[in-house]
Amino acid sequence: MGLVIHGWCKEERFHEENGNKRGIVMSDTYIIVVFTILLLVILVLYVFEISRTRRILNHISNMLLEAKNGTFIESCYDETKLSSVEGQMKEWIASSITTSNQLEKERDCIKTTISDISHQTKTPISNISIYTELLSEQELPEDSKEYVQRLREQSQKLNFLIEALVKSSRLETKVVSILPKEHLIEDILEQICDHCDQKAKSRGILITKEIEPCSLQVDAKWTSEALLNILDNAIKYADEATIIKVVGIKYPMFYRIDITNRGIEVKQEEVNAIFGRFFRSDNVRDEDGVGLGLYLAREIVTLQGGYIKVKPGTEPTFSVFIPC
Amino acid sequence: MEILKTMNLLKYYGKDENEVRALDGVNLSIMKGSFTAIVGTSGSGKSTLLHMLGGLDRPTSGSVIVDGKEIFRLKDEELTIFRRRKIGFIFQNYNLVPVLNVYENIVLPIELDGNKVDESYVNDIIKTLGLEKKLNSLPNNLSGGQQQRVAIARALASKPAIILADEPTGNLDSKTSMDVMGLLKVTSAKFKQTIVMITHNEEISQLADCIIRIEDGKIVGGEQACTR
Repeated sequence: MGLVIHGWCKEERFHEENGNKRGIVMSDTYIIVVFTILLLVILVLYVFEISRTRRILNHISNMLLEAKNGTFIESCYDETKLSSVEGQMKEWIASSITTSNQLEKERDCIKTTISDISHQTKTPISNISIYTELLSEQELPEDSKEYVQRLREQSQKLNFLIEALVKSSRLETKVVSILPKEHLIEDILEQICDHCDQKAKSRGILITKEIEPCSLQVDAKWTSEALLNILDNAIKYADEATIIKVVGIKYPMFYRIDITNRGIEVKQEEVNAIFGRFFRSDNVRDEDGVGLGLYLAREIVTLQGGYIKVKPGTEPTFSVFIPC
Repeated sequence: MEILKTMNLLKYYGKDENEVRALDGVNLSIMKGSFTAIVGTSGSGKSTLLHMLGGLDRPTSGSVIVDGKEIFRLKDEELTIFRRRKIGFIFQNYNLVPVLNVYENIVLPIELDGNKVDESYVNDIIKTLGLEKKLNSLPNNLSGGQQQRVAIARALASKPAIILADEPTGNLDSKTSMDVMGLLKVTSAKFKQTIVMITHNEEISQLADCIIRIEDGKIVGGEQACTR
């Protein structure tokens, strides 16, 4: 029993001694552990911060992508859950979208107004024509006859201008839409050549046709209009007693219609300008015309996925490409 | 809005008697959304000019500003990244990757940049260029015209600020050339893409909105007022 107690005491002392040693060792370890824990905490905070930043960046990137694609919906983003940067981004995107929507609305408003004006003027114009006709059938002194003649010419010109404006504004505001259907291009070209036959003959002009048959998806009415404008120009600006060539060639992805004449020069520098609204080159000042024919033609062709190319010079070629 | 501008661009090779002035003071300005053709004969400097515009070669002096950035102030690596993101190329010999199929070739630049492919936009391009049925084909199973259409799709897909085309119809017969050029014109208008193309072919150049003529390293004329 004494031995046991003794042993126990020895153990106690042993533990005491080692306890002191361990005490010193323990405080070292204690420092290291605390330090490591601190380090770990800092590391965790750092990783957390980085992932938060990345999340914000991703979020902003998504917002921008949606804004670019036009699928950004403001209400999907709850202000209270966003950080200040995201909030600012969201505000800015929302205001940009509002601005561009507003601009779009204003543009549409202007187009509709032009369309309405054009439509409203048709009645007074046709009345002017009627009364001018009636006047010309009356017995009038020489001077008056001349004035009536001038009146007729001017009202015809005005009528033509208004019609062209109405057409182009209807196209632009999409009041009238292009409805492609299957048509034979040779039929369309045949029709427009027949339409222009009288006018061509009166100037001694011969129209030759070399048309490769092809069935195309086009809006017959509008496409005829476009081609007619170009053919009409060709006859108007050609020298007397010359030949106008109408050629149709099938390409793998397009159908090409070439109209070539010989006459008033299409200047190299004006090759793009001539398609502008109301543009008339200096060298056609003497001829009748309003400057809308080519503008309309290009709108119509572009809306059907095609394009027009011009070879300039004194024997110019207008090439209309329509996808097939 | 101006998307590309050069200021007094000079490129000289050699010295004294052997000096070749590939570009001798070129000042250009290209508007966003326009389709410009640079026309000139062989040796006129048009290829050199295109390489400068694309940042593929450094000039002797002068600057090129793409989308507001002076590209030759960038370091080589920055320039590579800028080029990948902002500039699309169409080459005379298509330069498609032979081991990738059509679709993979088209989306390659986007994926190289680590971006997500805008599926609906890419599908729209593929449809407009008539490539829907060929998406799984390899380049060597396609005709020249079809390969060039794939190259055009590739250039369009990453929505670059500007597409540079170097004699895009050089390896194609005249009918295929007109077809490919027509598609390039229609897609550039539809997707509002700026294109600068060099060519020696007058007929092809007539498809562009603006024609700029180059001779002996200098701009010698062309339309001052390019409109669209």
